[in-house]
Amino acid sequence: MACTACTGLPPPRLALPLPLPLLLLSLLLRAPPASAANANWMYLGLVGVPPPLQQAAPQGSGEGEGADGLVVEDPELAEARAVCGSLPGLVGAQTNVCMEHPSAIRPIAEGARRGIQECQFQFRHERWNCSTNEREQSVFGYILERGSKETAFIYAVTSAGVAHAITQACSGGELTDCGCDPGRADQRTTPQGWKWGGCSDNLEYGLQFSRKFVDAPERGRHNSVDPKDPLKDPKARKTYAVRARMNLHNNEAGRQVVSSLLRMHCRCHGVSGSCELKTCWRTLPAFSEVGDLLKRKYRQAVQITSPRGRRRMRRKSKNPRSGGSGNQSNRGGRNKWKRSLSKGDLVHIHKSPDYCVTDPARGIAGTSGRACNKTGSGAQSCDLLCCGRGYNTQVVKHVERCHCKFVWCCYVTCKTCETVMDRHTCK
Amino acid sequence: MLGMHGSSADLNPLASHRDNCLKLNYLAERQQQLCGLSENVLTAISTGARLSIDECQHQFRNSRWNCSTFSNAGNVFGGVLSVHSRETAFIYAISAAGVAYAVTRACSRGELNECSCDSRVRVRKTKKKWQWGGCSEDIRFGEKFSRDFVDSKETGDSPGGLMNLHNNEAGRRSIRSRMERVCKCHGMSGSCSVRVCWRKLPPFRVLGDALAQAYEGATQVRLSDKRRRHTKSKRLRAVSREIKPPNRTDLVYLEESPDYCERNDTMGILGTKGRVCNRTSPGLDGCRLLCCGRGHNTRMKEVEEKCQCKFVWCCKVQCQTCRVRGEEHTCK
Repeated sequence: MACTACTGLPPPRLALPLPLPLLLLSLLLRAPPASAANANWMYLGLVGVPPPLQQAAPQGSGEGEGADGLVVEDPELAEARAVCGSLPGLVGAQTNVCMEHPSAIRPIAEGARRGIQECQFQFRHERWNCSTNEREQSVFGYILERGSKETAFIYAVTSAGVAHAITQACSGGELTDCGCDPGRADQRTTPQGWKWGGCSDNLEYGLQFSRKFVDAPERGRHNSVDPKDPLKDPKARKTYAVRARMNLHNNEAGRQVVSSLLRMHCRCHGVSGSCELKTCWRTLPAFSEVGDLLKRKYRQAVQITSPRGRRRMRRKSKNPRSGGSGNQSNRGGRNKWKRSLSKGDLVHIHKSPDYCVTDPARGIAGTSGRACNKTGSGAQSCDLLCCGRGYNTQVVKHVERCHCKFVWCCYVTCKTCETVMDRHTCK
Repeated sequence: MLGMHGSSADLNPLASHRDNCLKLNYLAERQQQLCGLSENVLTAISTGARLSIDECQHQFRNSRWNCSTFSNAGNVFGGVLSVHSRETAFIYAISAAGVAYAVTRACSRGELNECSCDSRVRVRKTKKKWQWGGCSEDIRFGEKFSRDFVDSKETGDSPGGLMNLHNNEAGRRSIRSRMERVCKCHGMSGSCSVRVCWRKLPPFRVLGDALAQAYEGATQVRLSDKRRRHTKSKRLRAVSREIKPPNRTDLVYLEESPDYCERNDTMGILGTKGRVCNRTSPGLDGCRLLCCGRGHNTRMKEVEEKCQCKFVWCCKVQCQTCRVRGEEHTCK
């Protein structure tokens, strides 16, 4: 059931000969046996898409793909196989999507990269800083397995990333299957007196594509009837089903955020800029906006349980965020509980670990050695980041060019300035 | 340590203060001498000790170690002081600062015979349109006294002694740079044609905050084995070359702290079981960190509070009592 892609060629980064200590370390880091099996498509965001294999002849990848009967291969199919065959971390259904749309794999990798980068930006000051492990195909290791708020964020942001990148690729003409939004291309005038014009981003396509590709691992495994599946045990199966539902919900929440941020841009084309003629088109938000909104949703993520025999998820706590002080807020809390989950909420099952201390088995890097802010009270302050362990101070010399002058003609002379700064890192 | 008992309950009020000081057997010889200087010295020192204990407990109210004190222990803080940890560093610094602070204050109030206001400040020149005047508090005397009194128990032979001396000095130095200048106008009908200023001690909370900051950034040190050419004096150096060498206002420590999670009677650590924690805080007072991963209990608690207070002419305030239900989380 695991990824068919992995059985083909190893991903190029892994093929590099590692020095022995590094190799041992990487083996150690992979200590949990599950992580190797849980290679993830997000890995594409780290390593990118390798250039297609030069010799288009399928080597060894033919067995699993049902290509037995083909004697002369369609050149397009051969190319698709060359691109999709060597990708790390894809499950069967995802490889199929790739085979159908080989040119989409670059935007997918770009989407994953965008998601991971945004995650690292949003969490740059927090104890968990969205650190990735390039030697591990599951990218986030244990954090992705845990089912905590952080897991929810990763799923949402990468799924949003794919929708975003695919939609942009559509508008940019990089994909053959899609272009600008056809629904908004007709030249009719709207009742408000403006016209759709320009190139509206075809987000609907991006969302559908993200659903098809990103959701595939959850759906595929959810419905699997493979007798060799390790999830034969009903209990493990149930946990997995709950987790799959959580992941699907968060994937969808990420996409929801993108579509909620879709903007309309208009331009006037009249004489000297007057608005006699006005055309409007829809544009995607900058991905950083998506990240900001998702971060806000992360802070308000809802812990859920899935009661036995019910398919619907529900909130775990009766009053999720109210401190329970006073009657009024209590009542509000009960209402909140009754209120069903909205599509845009991030949901999680387990609480987060504190991420303070290094725990290689769980892929937690810990905050030791992280740079922190001596004054201030935010998440980046040494107070919060160092978990009470205190911080070390280093004196760092910062050498830069300064007092630059232009000398006729034509060069620039600079002095070098040294500034000495204190750098604080957690103990 | 340091006569931090601060209670003079067991002293005989009729006996001379000198005799009383001799009875305090937890004081070193030099400390007993100083104590015997005048009647109010002991009061000033115990005020300082009280100040520093209160401040310590305030600064550490959210931490796993909450600066708990024991009345029956040989020293006030129990076995915590036997580890040369960051907490010990803080205790020494704040105690030395407390003594200097209280003695300085006593000086300016005229309670001690040995000192009074700082006369050296008055002769300083000022650039702007004001003059030194009034009673500037004499922190130098306070520092000197604290050095004489607090440091007399330590010797610079051992790493621990060096560490304590360093931290004592850091505590005292924290005051000097934070002295405040207070001014008053004495012109006609309050105009500022004559402006007189004097130096005043900062609130002790300011010093506590500064030392708590220093505690966070304390430097781990070890005894350097290098012998210098001329002197054989032992020095403390940062454990790693990359770390900034500690200056005289930085706190230093030799050993890592215990984690203060579980109760340890020999060490005088109470553990965090039963401590009230904040469920939503990500910081040290949050249940997750304070309870060391053991989880917490939650119970509903009804608190009676005064509410809907009204001012009634003249002159009283009438309040109703409200019962407010709240959750209280305690560590398991």
